[in-house]
Amino acid sequence: MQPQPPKRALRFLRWFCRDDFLEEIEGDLVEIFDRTVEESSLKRARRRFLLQTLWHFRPDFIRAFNFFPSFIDWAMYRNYLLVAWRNMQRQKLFASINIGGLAIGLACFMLIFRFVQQEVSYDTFFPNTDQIYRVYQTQPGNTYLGSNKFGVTPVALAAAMEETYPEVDKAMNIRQQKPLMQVGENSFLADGYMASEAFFEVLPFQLFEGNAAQVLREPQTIVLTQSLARKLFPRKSAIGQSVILQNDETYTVSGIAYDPPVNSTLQFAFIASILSDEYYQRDAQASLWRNSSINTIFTLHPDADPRKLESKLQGLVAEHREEDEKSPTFHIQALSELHFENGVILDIGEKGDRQFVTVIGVIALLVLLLACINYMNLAIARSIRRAREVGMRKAVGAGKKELLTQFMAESIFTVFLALLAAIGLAYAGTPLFSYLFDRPLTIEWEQSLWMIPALFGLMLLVSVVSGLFPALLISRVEVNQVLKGGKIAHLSKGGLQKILVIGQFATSTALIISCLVMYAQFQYMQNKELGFQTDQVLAIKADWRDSELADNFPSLRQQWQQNPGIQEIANSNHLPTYIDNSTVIKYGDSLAGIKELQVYHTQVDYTFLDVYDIELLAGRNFAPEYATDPESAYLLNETAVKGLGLTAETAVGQSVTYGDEGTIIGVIRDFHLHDMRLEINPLVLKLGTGFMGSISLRISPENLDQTLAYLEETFEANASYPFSYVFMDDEFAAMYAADKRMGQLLGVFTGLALIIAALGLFGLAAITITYRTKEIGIRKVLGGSTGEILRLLGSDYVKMVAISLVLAVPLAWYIMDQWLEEFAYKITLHSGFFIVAGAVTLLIAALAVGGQTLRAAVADPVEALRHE
Amino acid sequence: MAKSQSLGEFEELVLLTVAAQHDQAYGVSIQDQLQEQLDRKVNISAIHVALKRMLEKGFVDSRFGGITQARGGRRKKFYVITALGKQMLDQQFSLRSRLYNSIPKISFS
Repeated sequence: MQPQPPKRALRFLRWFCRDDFLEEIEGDLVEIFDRTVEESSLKRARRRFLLQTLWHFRPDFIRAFNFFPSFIDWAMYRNYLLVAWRNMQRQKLFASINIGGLAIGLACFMLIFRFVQQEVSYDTFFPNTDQIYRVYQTQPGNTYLGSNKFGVTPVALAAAMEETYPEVDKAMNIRQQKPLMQVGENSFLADGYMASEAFFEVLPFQLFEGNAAQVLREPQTIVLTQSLARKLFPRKSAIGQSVILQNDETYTVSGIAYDPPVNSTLQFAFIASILSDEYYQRDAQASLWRNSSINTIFTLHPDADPRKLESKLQGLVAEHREEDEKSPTFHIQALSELHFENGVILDIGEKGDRQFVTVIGVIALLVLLLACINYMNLAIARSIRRAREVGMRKAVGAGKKELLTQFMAESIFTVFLALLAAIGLAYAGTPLFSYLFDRPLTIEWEQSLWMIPALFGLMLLVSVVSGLFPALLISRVEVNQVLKGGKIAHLSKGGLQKILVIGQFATSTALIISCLVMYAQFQYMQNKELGFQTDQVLAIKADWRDSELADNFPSLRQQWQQNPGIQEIANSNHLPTYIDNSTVIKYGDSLAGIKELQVYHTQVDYTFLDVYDIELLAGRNFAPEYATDPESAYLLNETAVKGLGLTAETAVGQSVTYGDEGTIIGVIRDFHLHDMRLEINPLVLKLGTGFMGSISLRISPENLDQTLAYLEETFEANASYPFSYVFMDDEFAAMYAADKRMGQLLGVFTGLALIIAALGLFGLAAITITYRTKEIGIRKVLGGSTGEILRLLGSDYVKMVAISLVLAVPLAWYIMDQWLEEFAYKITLHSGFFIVAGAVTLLIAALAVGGQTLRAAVADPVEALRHE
Repeated sequence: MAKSQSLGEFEELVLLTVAAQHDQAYGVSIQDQLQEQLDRKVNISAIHVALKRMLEKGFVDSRFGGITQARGGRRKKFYVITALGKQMLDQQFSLRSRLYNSIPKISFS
């Protein structure tokens, strides 16, 4: 046999060398090779050949590469697409499951991504967002509702900052307000802000009419948003018109602003000048900065360093306060952090939850991942059936390149079809998602221009992977073997695919567990003993500034007592669900040492405990017989008493200083002042005289609507503010509204994940069962019963579910444990959750594969054996 | 321009050999003769490069030989010198001669 030059070297040469020089170079090299073999040795000849080939690897001889020349082959592409289409038609169910699953996953991802993007983009629409900052303070030792950061600052700070620091361009004061607004006959509560002159210069919201620097210069001026202006003054210009706020202040409309965009933390219907507010003026002129009553926002020069300003700020504050160890520290925060900042008390604006956004983002990615994996799984499995077609194509001359291209084209075609469907689904799904996320959500392509190529890229990746794998595998198929009907048996067992399905089920199970736990926690919170009654208790959120009501309340109350539907009436500063005032009480004397305790407090009347059915553990309630009660009687709750180092019994009769010195007349049972994320805090109740803003009524359940109508009528007759009521159990539920929504959201996505996983399993089962038809037929012929076959086929799936459970349980346990840590009052994680989740998963799996497995098990073995 | 005018040293050698072998010159044959004349190893790839460049400059022409059994059926590319190429050689030769003739009689003892 003629000695051959090294194949690799030859191949390499043919690969890189220009066509017009290849023949002569190759020929010369071969001639030298032959000669060397004769004169020297084969080994030397081969080595020389190799070396000489390498020497030719230089620019002179390297060909100009054009990649994938076959991509310009239009005719074949038509065929590929036609075949792809026909394949889809033939396997309609399969194709629609596959494409549908991917489309759903994609659509979900797009919508969630839109939400995340919107959340992250809050307040970025200002041209100078990076320069806008706000001031907040931390007060050492003063923790309130779980935080010691406060958003309010002294009124005079803004002006002082503008004057003292050249790097501060403009500073303004702002306070969130929801006053009663009256125009002509209309009166309603409007959401907005009171602000100082520089509002529109610091926060450049676009003005439709009016100049940013001038529009709030005068006191008693107000800027309305376009929608509000249109509502109040439908056919004329609102400029120059008057609106009345809080019943007594008249404001003139000096400008109209465009409605604030959806992703603005500050949402408002109006901005009114705060200059004429008496408290504001008083605080503005105070020489000592003791009161912090408004929020301060300012713009910083672009080159300035906010850190430096922050440290300088302390000096400024120190000038105007007496320094003591209780002195607060002032901090600067960028506007971009405002939306997610939930740790600051007395803050302003619409808040988002960063944790939530992160979690939801992760879920979105998970869903996308699941959908893509699912798709790839099924596509790969499906393409194995094409072995015969591949054999035919090879027989008529298709090379590897052609086959690769074909599968790629088909894959890309299918995937992009799914992408189109997904876009359609996304548009259709916007209302649902807007509800779930509680924000108006629309698909805005301009916002996310980069997402389009990113998605395209992802889809390309998916199609490449799902096309490449089978293509490479199948193109290795031997023509003879396939045409005669042999199979690539080992692929149908689908080890890789099983792993993917297990992964999907594990994720779904983990999600189910999370859902169950969340639901249980919410149920627990709803049903837990609050310590006060919410059944049949109605609360009217009146306003203590409503002077008309304040005057009329005593007689109104008497009137109400007459009504059979109203059982008991109470008046208080706050409703028990949201007592947010806190202060410090002192107990003890100079001998034993003075103990200070931080407490929450509110003022109530005599009947408060009755209306809410709050239990008295020791001592007595406030009573009109005791004339000193309004001055010096206090009720404490258990936690307060414990905090002072006393017990319920020993506390009664003790004197404490709460503003003034007084006596503890009774101890009430703890009730939840806040949501169950917080521990129950100490509480002090004082007797309030005069009208307080919250009216609570215990109502009888019969003829409820009559009672309500009566209340409304009588209330409106005696008050200037509109009648607005809420049932205490609704009010309580509202505390957890956001959590509930999160739970619903999770539920929806769990459902989706399950659907996708089920689809995946369904598809997988369809394929493997078809493959095993012959095997099943043979088993039956050899005497296998239907039951045995069922068990044989089914055990595979049971095993997969079992494995996914094993994976899911520890993961879900850990995550849920972390989530529950947030709550001071929580349920315990027990095995029940996992068992139920496991059962559900098993059920879904059974549904997905049951039908087919059963059908295969009862099929006629003769048919099965004939199956090809 | 300058490119079509220059003739490198090695290129000159190859061109001379091509001319010497009158229409029977191809890669290996050129290599053999050069190696013999120069008494040192010559890289075949260098020859190929030289031939290509001279082809581009127009100093040589090429034609394919017939298919033979040898070389696995791969045809040989025969190179033949063009008029321009001959002109270049003449130029070089006259240059060398002139310079050589301008050397005075030197004796090296």
